[in-house]
Amino acid sequence: MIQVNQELLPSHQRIGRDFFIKHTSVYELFKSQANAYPQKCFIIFPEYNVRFSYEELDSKITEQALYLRQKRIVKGDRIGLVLPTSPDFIVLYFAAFREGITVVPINPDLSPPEIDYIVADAQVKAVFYNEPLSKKISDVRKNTGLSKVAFINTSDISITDPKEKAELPAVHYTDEALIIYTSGTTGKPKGAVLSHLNLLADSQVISEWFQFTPDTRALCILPLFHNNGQVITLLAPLSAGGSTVMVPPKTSLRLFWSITKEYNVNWTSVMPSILAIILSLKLKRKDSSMAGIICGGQVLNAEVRTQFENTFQVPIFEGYGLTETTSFACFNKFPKNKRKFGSVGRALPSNDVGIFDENDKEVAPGKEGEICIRGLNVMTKYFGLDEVNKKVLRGGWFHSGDYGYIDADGYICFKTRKDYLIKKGGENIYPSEIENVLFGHRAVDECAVIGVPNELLGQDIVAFVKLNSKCTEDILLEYLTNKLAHYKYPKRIIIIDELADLDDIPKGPTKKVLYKVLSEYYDRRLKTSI
Amino acid sequence: MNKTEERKLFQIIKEVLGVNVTEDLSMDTVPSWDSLRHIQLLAKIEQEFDIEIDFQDTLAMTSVKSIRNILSKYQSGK
Repeated sequence: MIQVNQELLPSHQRIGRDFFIKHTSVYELFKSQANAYPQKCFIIFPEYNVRFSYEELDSKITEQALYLRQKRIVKGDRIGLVLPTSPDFIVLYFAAFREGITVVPINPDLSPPEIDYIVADAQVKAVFYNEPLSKKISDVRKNTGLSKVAFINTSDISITDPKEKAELPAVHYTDEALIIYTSGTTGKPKGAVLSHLNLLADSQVISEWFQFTPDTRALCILPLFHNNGQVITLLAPLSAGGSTVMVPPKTSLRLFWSITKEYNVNWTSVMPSILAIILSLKLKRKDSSMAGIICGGQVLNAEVRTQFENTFQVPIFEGYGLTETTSFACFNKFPKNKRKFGSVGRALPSNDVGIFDENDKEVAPGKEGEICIRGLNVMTKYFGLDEVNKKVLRGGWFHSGDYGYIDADGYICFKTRKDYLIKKGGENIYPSEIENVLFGHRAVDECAVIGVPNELLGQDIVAFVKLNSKCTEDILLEYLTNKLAHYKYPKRIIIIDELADLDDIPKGPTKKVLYKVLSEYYDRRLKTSI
Repeated sequence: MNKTEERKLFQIIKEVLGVNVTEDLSMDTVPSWDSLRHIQLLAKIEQEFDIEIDFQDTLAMTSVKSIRNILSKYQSGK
């Protein structure tokens, strides 16, 4: 066991108690499990008809690590992975960690300008993609600002017979491991820098919290470019010597119980919208193995939880966390009789959770305020955003911008999401991302985008626009094509000029758009007509 | 698969995904082909062709070409 030297950490990562990790890097964790369970199945990709034992995957990782060296991608460099859930993603992910290279996972569904932004902002040295994405990547490559970036199709990777001895470079737990881009209030995504310690600490405590063992088999149904898929259903089972089944999110929902039965899955992690979809499909449970479902990322509707648990007899463990806290920072207690409904649970042993008022004073139990987190799973910083870091990491706490309270028993109750963040199917979407693009149309004078309730997705998107010349909803929707990822397309674009009782986008005295007033108007006047 | 069945399949894909159907369309090239549309698409195919698509085939039905090929397999096995 290694006692984490908290003197080496920024103040917002320190907790007032000792904390021990078992390994100094993510690859060292993997290697240790590969030594302990060489023949044991570690990962299965049903879509690719591929499965690797710990030992087999380690061999692939070592080969890929040597390839990275041949390409002169070394410790301290960054690589972008524009890849779906696939063996390529996993092998490159661990090979990079082995070499001390930072991984920047990028959603393959993003548009070329959106990918382009992340590749440039993260200063990656190489981008790996697969053949189906080659057209999109060729559009990204047209940006001359990326001329020094190597774009590598994974089908072109040739592994030469490794002559070079694949000695491990020294990777320390404080070293950068991942940069995950999360939506920002300015409309540009921010890169949350996560260290090896962040990943090790979060996956270790979650593994212990749910009593994962070498018999744990997780189902990774959330995309791997998200922290949730990586930490809960890959690294947490790894931490216990367990295994994981990786399925593509797009094709697998209707197979949820079939996959669970086929592969003897006993844990998974989902967004609430997935539970709603599975319920709506009226699927029959086929397995007898599923022990629990971890849920977060959106507010879990009490009705969905009750219906799901009654229908399938599987307990749901709700928690709360953000990309900035690696994954979850609090969870309801395991086993199921220790859960407190309506709460997102208690702080994990790796972090503290506090509620602070607008003057940065910690408030008493029961009183609402901003949810702040500090600990070994809190990100190091946002990449290249010093001013933002000073603000959100002030006073030794990460200020989430989310609001809630802690009850007398120490259970955290989440109240509202920060600002007017739209949570559609587990994806974070800021209104400004869509507004910025809509504003680019010459007929649009003003616009405001809000999230509206959606039974399956949690929320959907509605845009209000004020025109300066003739235009239609269809023309504006067409205009958005290829400028935004498809999941960011509004369900409706409402032309304010055509509404009888709304002259303008409501604004306050400082001309700040009053999103709340717009949401109330939508609820009152338009909800039933859309 | 005969021409009538192929037309029927293409019509289903067009209705569900809202795009003009060509052989080379796939999940990676059609932005609207997300998880919900995929569920709707397979449900509609099962209903219209009176078949039950099995586990491995569901995972493989990610393009117009693969859907047509897999569907042909079910048609010939009927």
